[in-house]
Amino acid sequence: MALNVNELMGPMLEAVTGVFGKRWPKMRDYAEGETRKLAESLAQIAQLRVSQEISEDEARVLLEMQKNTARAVLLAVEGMGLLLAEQAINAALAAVRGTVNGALRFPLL
Amino acid sequence: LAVWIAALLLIAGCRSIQLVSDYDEATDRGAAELQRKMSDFFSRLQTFPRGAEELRFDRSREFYRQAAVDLNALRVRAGGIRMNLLTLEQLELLEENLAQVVLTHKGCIEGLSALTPEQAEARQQAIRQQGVDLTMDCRVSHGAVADLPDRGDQVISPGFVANAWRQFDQGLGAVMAFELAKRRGENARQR
Repeated sequence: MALNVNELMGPMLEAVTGVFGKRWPKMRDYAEGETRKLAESLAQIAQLRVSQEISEDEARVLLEMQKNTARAVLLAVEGMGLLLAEQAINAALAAVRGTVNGALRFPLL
Repeated sequence: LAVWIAALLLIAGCRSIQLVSDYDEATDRGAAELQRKMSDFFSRLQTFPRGAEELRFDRSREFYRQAAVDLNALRVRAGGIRMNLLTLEQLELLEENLAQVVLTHKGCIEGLSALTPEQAEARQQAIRQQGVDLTMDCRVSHGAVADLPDRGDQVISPGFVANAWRQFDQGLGAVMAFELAKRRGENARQR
């Protein structure tokens, strides 16, 4: 039996949308919260320098460290994005598993 | 979209795909434990007045050594887990930050602002390649601005400590947040 792409598309899209609807808000909340922390840290470095509690050299080191911290946070966000993509793909495949395997008469998925 | 669906079905050929490593409890616990140790260390430093004997580098060197060992152990473990490059990179960045704190504590960064962009980049490379320099000296080969001996009596400034503490909290928090996300991903895979 031939597979109809249009028939597969509906359940797959629905599954992908479901995963994004459930997971995306959590990821967005994490990214927003961490961005705020980075901004607060940057403001603290500036304030410490203005009040002469740290030297210009120390401010530069803290800024270099801040860049690394921001990268570490973005790597977490990137990883969460990959997990989101993985879950969406797997949900899409699961949504049409029965249809595809039935049509092929062997368990491809 | 039709092409995407067809490609997906063709490449899948299995029940599910995996793009990120499984949750690793040892990494999660190790990062949490290191974060606790860092908080304990930085909060203790903040109780001393500027210039106090307790703020000398030689008083803190053993803590830095232990923290470097902990980070290295986490990094080696992360490197042995497949599809774990993002966590590995996170830990390398944290190791660089620890190296920066140690250099600053030893007073090895004086004159940093006067470096050319090329010299500053070379310094960053040295830190990346050599890691945390636990000797009592400042060494250009390890990211210091100048070669200087016997820096054990150098003290760290409370202002620097305040921000460095915040950065380790956030960096180690990012490692833990990603591990927790992996655990949720693993649970979803098993459903």
